[in-house]
Amino acid sequence: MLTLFVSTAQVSTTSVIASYYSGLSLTLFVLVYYLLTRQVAKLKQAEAACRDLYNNAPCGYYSITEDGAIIAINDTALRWLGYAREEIIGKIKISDLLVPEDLELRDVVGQFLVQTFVKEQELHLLRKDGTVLPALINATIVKDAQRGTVIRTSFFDITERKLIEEALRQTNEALEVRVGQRTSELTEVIDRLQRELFQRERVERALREGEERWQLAIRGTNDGIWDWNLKTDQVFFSSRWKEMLGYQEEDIGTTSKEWRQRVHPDDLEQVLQSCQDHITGRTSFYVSEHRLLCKDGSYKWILARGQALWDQKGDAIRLTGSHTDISEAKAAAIQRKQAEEALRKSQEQLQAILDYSPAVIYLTDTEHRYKLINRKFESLFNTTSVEILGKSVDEVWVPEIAEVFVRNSQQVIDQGMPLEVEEFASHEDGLHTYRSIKFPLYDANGVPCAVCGISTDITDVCDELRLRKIAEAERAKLIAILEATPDIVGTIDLNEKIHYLNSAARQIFGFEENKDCVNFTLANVQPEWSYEIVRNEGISTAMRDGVWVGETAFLSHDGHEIPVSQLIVAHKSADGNVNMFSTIARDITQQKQISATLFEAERRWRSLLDNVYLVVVGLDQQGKVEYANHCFLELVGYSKNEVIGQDWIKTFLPTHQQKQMQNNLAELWSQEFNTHHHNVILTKSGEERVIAWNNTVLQDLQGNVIGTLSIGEDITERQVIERMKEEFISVVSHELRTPLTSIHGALNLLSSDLVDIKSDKGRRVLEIAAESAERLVRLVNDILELERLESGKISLSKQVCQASQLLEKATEMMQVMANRAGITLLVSSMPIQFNADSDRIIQVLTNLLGNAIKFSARDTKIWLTVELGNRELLRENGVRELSVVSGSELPMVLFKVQDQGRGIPEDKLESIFERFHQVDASDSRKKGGTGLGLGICRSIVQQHGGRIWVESTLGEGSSFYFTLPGQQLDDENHGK
Amino acid sequence: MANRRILVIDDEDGIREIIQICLEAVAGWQVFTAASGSEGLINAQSTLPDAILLDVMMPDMDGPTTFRRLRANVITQDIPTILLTAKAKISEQQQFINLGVTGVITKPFKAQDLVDQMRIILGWKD
Repeated sequence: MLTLFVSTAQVSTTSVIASYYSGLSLTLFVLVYYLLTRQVAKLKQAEAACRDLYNNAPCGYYSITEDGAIIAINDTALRWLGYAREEIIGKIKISDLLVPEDLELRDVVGQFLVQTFVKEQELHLLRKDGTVLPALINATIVKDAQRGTVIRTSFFDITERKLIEEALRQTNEALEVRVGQRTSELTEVIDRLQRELFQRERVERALREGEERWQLAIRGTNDGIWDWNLKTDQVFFSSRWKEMLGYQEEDIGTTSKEWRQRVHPDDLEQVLQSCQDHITGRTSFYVSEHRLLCKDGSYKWILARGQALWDQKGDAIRLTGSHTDISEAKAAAIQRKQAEEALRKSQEQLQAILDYSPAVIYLTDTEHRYKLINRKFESLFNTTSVEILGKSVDEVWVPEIAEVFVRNSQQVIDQGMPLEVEEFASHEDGLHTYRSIKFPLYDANGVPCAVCGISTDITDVCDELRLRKIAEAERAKLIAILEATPDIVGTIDLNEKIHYLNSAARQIFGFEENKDCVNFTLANVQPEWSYEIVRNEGISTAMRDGVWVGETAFLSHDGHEIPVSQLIVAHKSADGNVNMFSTIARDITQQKQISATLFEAERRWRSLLDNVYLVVVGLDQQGKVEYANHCFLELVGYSKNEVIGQDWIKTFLPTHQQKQMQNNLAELWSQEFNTHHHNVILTKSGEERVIAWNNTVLQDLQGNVIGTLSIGEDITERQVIERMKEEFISVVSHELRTPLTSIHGALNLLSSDLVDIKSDKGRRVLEIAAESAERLVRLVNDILELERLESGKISLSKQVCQASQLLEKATEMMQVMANRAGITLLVSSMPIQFNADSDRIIQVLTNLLGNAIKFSARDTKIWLTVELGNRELLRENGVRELSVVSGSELPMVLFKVQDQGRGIPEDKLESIFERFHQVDASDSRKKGGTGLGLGICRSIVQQHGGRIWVESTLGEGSSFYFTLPGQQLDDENHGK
Repeated sequence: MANRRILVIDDEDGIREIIQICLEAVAGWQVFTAASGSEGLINAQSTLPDAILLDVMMPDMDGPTTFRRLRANVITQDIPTILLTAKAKISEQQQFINLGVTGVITKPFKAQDLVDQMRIILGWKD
C-alpha cells in the first residue's frame, strides 16, 4: 500500500497542500485519497463501505431538505455537535443549530436552492451543550428523486484552524497570504476531489493533479515528509527528509529508530513527550523543534509538525508530518538572542559604569540641553534626572558657570575633537574645580549630535597640590636652616642607621656628601660611653615620651670627643609606630669649660667665704638673708637654718637702728652701693658686735639689683683697743706736753730776760722748770718701762728671794716718805723663799706703798704683810681666783698692802690697773705719779705668774694683794 | 690800759705759775689763777676779769665744760675766753672755735708770743 501511495504520489500533479495547513487538509486529503484509491482499486465496492466512509470521514456531513430539516448526518458531525442521530433526524432543523448571529444564513441556505453549491462558508453551529462550534461548510444541491432537492453539506471543525490561522497570521503575513492562496487552491482541489467523489470518472485525474500539487508543495517548501505507522513502526522518510540531513536514500532505514537515534540526546525527551501528547490527544498537532544528527556528524535544527490518525477505538494508528530545516533561522535566532544578550549586557555594564562612576557624566545635545546625567551628577548637585533632563545648561547653572560650560561644549561640537579642560562648579561649600573631558557623539550621518562630558572633582587634588607645594617650600626652608645651623642635626632609623646629617654634622664627622654617611650607624659617630647613654636612656625615653635631652658626646672624624647637649626626638609613622629618630646636638665644649671654670671659681669662693675669718652675709632684694658664712654664724650664735630667709634688719640690728636702716636700705641699693660702713649687730644672746662692712651690690645680667653681698670684720675688740690707744696717746701727749709746757715757758722767761734769774721770781721759775723736767723724766721712764714689760722686752732675772728681806728693803725705801706724811708703816713677814726678780718685786711693793702713803691721811697706818697660802686659804680670804699654774697645788706667796685711806669706788677696782687710770685725775698732779704705776705693777706680777688685785671699802681703806708662785724649794723643805 | 685783769684756769700748777709770771712780767697785767674749772667759775664771777685763759684738758670739769658754764652765767657770759690746748690738730681747734670761744692758743708757747697772741685775739693794742 505504501508503494502504491508513493507511486501514486509521484504521478499526482495537481494537489498542492500548504505545509502550515497541512494537519487537517493533509489528513483529509490522504483519507479521501485513500478511500478513493480503494474504491478505484476494488472498482465500486459495496455501499456499506461507502457508508462507513461517510460516517467515519474526518469531516461532518449532513443533508437537509429545502425547508431546513436535517435528513442525514454522519457520525463525525454527531460527535462534534454532541447529539445522537435520533435527536437530530426529523426533529431539528438546521436553523436550530445556528447561533442567532448566523440565523440570516438561512437565507444563504435558501440560496442553495438557486445555486449549485456553497463554498467555504464559515458558520457557527450550536452544540447540544450550547457551546459554539466554528465550522467551515461546503454545500451542494443534490436533486434526489425521492426527497426532491437535498442540500448536502460537509463541514469542518475549524476551531484548530482558527487558532493556527491566527498564529500564522502573526508569524508571517506573507506566508499567510501564500497559505491563503494555497488554502483556496487546496479548497479547489478538495472541491474537485469531492466532485470527483461524486463524479467518479473525474477522480483519477483529480487525484493525479492532487498528487502533483502536493509534491510541488513539498518541493516548494523544501520540507521533508515522514509517515510513521504506529502499529508497525514502519516509517516513510521522504528523499528530502534524508537529503536535508545529508544522507543518501539508502542510508536511512524504515523504522522510527532511524529518526529517534538521530535526535539530539538533549532534545529526545522533549520530542517524545510532544509526540505522546499529540497521540494521546492532549494536543491537536504535533509540533516540535529539535536537533537531528547529520551524516557529517553535525546537528541541524528541525521543525517537525505532524498529525496523528486514530482508529475507531481512538487508538492512534499513524503519525504523519513534515520536517522543515530551521537551522538557519534557529542559528539566526540564537545569534540574535546572543546579540541581544550582548547588547543587554553591554547596556547593563554601561549603566553600571554610569551609576557607579565617581566622575560626573552627562550628555548634552547641540542645543546644550541635558540628555543624560548619571547618579554622581544627581548626588553631587543634589538633583534628579527628572529635574535636569531636557533643561539647558543655562537653566541649570548660574550664568558665569553656564557660560564656560556652553563655550567648552560648543568648541567640542565645532571642532569635533575631544577637549580636556578645567571647569568650576558651584557647591554648597563654594566653587569646586573639575577636570572635564568632553567629546562629541555623532549621529548616523557622522554629524556631531551631542557632547558627552566626564568631569572629576579635583578640588582636593588641587588643594593637595597647592599644599604640597607649600609644604615643599617649607621643607626647603627648614632644610636650609638645618644646613646653616652650627648645631649637629641628623636622623637615624630604628636600626640606628644614619639617614641624614646636616652640613655641620658632616663637617664634624668628615662626610663630604649626605650619601657618604649611609653606611654609618650611631655607634660609629659616638664614643662608647655616650652611645650607651643614647641607646639605653635617650632612645628609650624618646620612644616613650617623644623626646629626650641629655649630655652626650660625638666623635669627630679625627677621633676627637666633642661634648654635646643632645636632643633626641622620636618620629612616628602614620600607623603610630616610631619609625625614625632625629637629633639636634650642640657642641658644649666651651660651656663645659666655662662651667668647669665657674664651678672651680664658685668652689674657691665658697671655700674662701666659709673659711675666712670674716663674716659674709648675702641679702636679697627684700633684705632677707640669702647667704651667711660659717664665721658669721659662729659670731651671732645662730644655726644656718635660723638665719637663712630672716629679715636682716629685724633680726640683727638693734631696735634703735632698725627704722633708719629700713629707710636707707632701698635708697642704698638703688644708688652706688660699694660703701664701707660700721654698724652694730646683735648676736643671739643679745650681745652687740661692731662690724666693719664692705658691701657689694649683686646684679643680674640686665644690671638689675638682686641683692647685696657684704663682707664684714668683727671690730668690736679692735675698736676698744683703738679707743684705748687713742686715749692713751691723748693722755700721753697731754702728760708729756704739760711738763714740757712748764719747762718751755720757764726757760723762755729766763732766757728772754723777762724774769731775772737771780730774783725770787727767777728762782721760782727755775724751780718749776726743774720739777717739770724731773716729772718728765719719770714719765718717760715709766712709759718705756711699761712698754718694755708688756712687750716682754725685759727679762726677769729670777733668783731665790727671802720675802722678809724684800719687805724690809721696800719699807726702808718708803720710810722717809711715810714719815713725811705722818704715816706708820707696819710690816709683818714670814720666812718665805720664792723665785723672783727681787728688784721688780721691791718696785711693786714700793709702788703700792707709795700709793698707800699718797692716799692716806696723816696719822694712819699702813700694813705690809706676806704669807704663804694654798688655794683653800686664799678662798677663805675671799680670793676668787688665782693665776696659778693649773693642776699644781703649789703654795702661793701672798703679799698685802693695806691702808686706811679714802678707799676706791667699786667701779674703779679694775681700771686703776690700766694705764693713766687714776681714781681721780687730779691725783696725779697733787700726789705726783705718772698714772702708770699700777700698770707697771700688774705687768710685773703677771710676768711672774702671779696676780694682783685690790679690795676696798670707801672711807675705810684699801687692800692691795698680789700673789707669786711658791718655790719648788719649799717642797723640799716640807720633805725635811 | 695797762691794768688789765686776766684769769688763768689750769690744773697744772707749774703751767699756771709760768703763765702768771709771764703775763705779769711781759704785759704787766694783773693775773688771777684757778686750779680747776669749778674754782675758775667762782673766780671769774668774783673778779670779773677782762679775759680768761682756760686750759682744755682738766680733770673733773674740762675746759669746754667750764666755758659753757661761763657762757651760761649772765655775769660771766661776755668775758672773752681763750682756750689753751696742747692739742695741735686744726680740726680739734676748730671744734673749740665752734663752741664760741674768742680764741685758741696752743701749748707750749713762748712768753712774748703768748702775750702777742692774746692781744691779737682780744684786739688789745696795748
